[in-house]
Amino acid sequence: MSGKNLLKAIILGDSGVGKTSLMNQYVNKKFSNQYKATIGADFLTKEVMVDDKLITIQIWDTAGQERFQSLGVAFYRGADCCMLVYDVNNMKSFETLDNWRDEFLVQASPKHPESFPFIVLGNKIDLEESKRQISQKRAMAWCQSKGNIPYFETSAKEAINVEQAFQQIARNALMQEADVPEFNFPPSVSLDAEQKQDQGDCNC
Amino acid sequence: MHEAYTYQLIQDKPPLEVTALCSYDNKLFVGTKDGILLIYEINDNDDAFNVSLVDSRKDFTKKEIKELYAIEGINILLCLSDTQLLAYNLETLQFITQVAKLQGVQYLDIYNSVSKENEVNLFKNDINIENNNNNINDNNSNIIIKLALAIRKKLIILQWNQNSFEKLNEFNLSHTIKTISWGKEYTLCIGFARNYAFIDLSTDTIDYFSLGNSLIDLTSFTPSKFTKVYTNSLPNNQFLLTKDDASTYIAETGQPLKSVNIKWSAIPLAVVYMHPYFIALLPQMVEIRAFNSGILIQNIELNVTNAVVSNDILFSSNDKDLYTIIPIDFDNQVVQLLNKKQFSESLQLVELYSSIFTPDEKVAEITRIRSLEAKYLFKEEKDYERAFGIFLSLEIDPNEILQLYPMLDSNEEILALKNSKNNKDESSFDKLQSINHLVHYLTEQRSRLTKQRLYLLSIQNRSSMPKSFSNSTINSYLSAAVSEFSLSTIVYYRQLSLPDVEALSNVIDTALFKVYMIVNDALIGPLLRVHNNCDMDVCESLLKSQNKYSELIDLYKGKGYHKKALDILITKGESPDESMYGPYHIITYLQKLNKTDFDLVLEYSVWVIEHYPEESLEIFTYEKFSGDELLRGIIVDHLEKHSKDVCIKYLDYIINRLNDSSSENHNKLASYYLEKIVSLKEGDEERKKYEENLKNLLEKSTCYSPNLILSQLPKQSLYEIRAVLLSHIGEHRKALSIYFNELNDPKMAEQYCIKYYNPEDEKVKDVFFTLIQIHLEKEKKEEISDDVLELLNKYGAYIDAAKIMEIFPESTKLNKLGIYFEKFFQELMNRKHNQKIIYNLLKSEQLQVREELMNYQSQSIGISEERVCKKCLKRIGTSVFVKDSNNSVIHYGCMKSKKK
Repeated sequence: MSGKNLLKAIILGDSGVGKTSLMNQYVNKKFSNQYKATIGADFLTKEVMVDDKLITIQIWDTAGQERFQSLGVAFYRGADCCMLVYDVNNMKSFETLDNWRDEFLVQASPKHPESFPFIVLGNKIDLEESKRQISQKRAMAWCQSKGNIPYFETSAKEAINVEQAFQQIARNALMQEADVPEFNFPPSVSLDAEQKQDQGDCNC
Repeated sequence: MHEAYTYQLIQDKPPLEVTALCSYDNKLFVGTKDGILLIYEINDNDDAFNVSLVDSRKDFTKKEIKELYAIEGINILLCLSDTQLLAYNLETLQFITQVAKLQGVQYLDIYNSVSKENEVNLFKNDINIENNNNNINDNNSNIIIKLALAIRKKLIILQWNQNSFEKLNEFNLSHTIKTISWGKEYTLCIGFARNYAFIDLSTDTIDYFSLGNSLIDLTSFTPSKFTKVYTNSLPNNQFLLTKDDASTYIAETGQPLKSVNIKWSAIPLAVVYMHPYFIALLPQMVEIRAFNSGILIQNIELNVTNAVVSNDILFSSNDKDLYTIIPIDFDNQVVQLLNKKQFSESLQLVELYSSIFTPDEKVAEITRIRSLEAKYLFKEEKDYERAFGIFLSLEIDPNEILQLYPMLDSNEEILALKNSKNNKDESSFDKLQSINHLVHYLTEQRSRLTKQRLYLLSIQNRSSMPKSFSNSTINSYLSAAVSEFSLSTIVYYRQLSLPDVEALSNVIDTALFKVYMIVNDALIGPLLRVHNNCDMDVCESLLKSQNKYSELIDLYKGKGYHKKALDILITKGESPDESMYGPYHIITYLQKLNKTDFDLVLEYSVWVIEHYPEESLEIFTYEKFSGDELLRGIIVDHLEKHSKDVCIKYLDYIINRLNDSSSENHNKLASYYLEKIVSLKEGDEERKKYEENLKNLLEKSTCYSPNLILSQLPKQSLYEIRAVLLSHIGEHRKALSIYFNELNDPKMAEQYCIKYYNPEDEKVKDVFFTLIQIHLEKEKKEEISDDVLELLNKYGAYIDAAKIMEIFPESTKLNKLGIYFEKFFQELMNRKHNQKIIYNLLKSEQLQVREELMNYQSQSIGISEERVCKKCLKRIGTSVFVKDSNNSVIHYGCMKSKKK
């Protein structure tokens, strides 16, 4: 496993699906029923143990509103993982997952788009079953078709599966990190990368 | 190091030793050791610059001319000679008087409100000078001229008043004065050998300051021939204090500023400030340093001892010769540096010359230099990391950067590079490196363009948005969006219009496409699927050449060329060795089409219906289409034409799953089931299934027309279905007779009765009677059978005795009917008791209501002249009113409007 101990995670999804709530539930263990649109982007950090390793996750919350979707590339660049969130009671928010994924890939242009660690969260499962519009089966089929993206059904309100989802994404991101040296670009590049990693260790 | 100044010898000079210089208008006065004054004329026009001797005054003074000062405004030329201060007429050069009859004057400085103002203005902005000159000429009477004279430790202040200098003040200082410099009208900086002082004339206070260790080590101080203290008054009210070989900045409060200290290469004889440089006359050379940083700019090998600035030209002299030292303009200086690839020095130069630029010009100049630097790094150093670090920080036309990538213009080269990824060939490796860096640059430009596009659209929307729409949330989003844009210093993008944005976005996206094609083709799909302006032809030909059909379909889809995309999907769907074999890719594509493209959905669904009838249903049952009831009719018509089987499944889906309630669809489904049933042999499993479906439909649905279906029903079969239909139209007798006579199933007839019996409904309240009647008709016996008796005993309560007696055969023995009667009468009694209870309950309720009524009627309120409505406070008068529980009254009309 690599020496990196800071992970940058980005949360994407339509407006109102609960991105900020998920982040707040995970980091602050708090939930508010009031809706407040996120403006621009915001981030929180949390330290977490992944397989006996202390990792700091930096979670970047984004605005789902179209107006704020022109976030700079700097925002996406260097992301180690990406969480796609939809509302299981809102068909449109599920159908736009494709779009969010594509948008992320173009903006971040990761070296290995096929194996980039995504995770899909179907949020708001605490609402009554009759309101639900997307079945677990359908969501899982979508995840499967996009290269076996892990899928979690969550409730930011009831704190269901939130911890588990973040744990999973941290683990996947670290595994992706470990894959990097396989990248067959010339020695000059990987040498740089190693140096950077060394610096990272010294910073503690 | 570069050339900021150049020098020129003034040829026209007699062999006299120059000791003082001063300039006025286009004249240069030169004082000599022998007391002779030479007058030169400066001709500075566009064609040429020359200085020529026009006049001279022998015996101007008796001894050496030490200093010369021309004072504009009062037309006086001051001359310091033999420690006396002499005043002359500036025009005629006639001697006027010895100022204040003073002896022993060693140094002096002049405060002139006119030239001071000019200086300040020069620093602020060049353009206003002429205006100010005019103003000042008009106000000559307000001109303030002050002299500060040093006689050893004594400082004397004089002021010009009407036609002579009058003594204003006198100070005795602690040390011998070495230099004097005026700041503002009331501040003076005085330099001594080891320290300095600030004098505030408005309060007559003297503050002494030590030069401090940072500047000069005082212990090592040894007086020498060259030891001089200089102060230069700078436009921003600071001073440059020079002692020995060091200069330091002093704030107008007298505190030394630590930020800039200048260490000259040798001890200067004089330091001259000429924005933006300090020019120091050193023994054997002239040294030029930047005024803001003290950085060494240039050394000129020239031995001069005297200097004066006139109209941006420095005149300088030594014992023998007279020189002009001429500044080189900014553009020329920058070119020198850029030619030497000294980019950071070029930027420092822009900073140095800040005052000649408007803020926008300055940004443009910095951008120009930075982009030259980045291109140099890119082309010559191949340091793409740093080059793009700069490119990304600038807002320049992205086309300039794309010009660095000529290989992207040819498809052949793009494909060659794509295939060279595993080669170790150095040149293509280098190209790939540079292309990798382009990825982030292009994606960044995409987001900048998006920002500008949103900004332009938001402006457009705001001007066209009616007021009622501008609710607070929309407004807050808008203002947040707009403020985000205005914060960023967009230079290049800010000036783009919407069509410009689209055109540039086409260039950027197409380039990004090509770059992805070379270095990371897995990202082509995402790019083509998100909002993009990729060039159709370029992408099409590259994708085709690489057989990237899935991406090609994404491209067509994004551009709205659905037919092209669908044609490929069908071709691929037909070839078993393709990854897109089968119906699912085309089904998904059709599902994603808009309802406005529904014609296409119908057209291309035909292939799926023909080849994959089972799967084809998924196209039409997709929520987007089937949720729209208008489309259902179109879909049904379409399916009828191409496949009845699919049509049946579709109708079944919309009726049973989506609860469709159109009678047309229900009739159609029933008819199709019938058709199917008829076409199949009796006993066939499939037929049974259809029969079951039909029966379920007919039993549950209320939307079909039973008569229509009855007319289609084949005779002599499907009795059960016929019975269901008959029951729907109330033909219970017929239905029961079918169970009895055709199906021979009395049990089902009995079930039928249980199902439909309802004592309240006229049509079905006698259904059990009908059952018995049919029984008896069928048996045609003298005696009633046991079957009938059993039915009577079971359901006797629901059969009217009066009616049934009439149809019993005459020989019926009453004793057999005992149980029946008992049951029937019990039922009658039961009903009677029930009715009685209900009657009494209703009666008691009526009494209660009546009591309540009486209670209400007994209440009253008086409406007098004074009685007013609680709400509108107007008189009730004769209008309709309402009384509330507090006995207050309110107009009927007012109450209604209150509720709203």
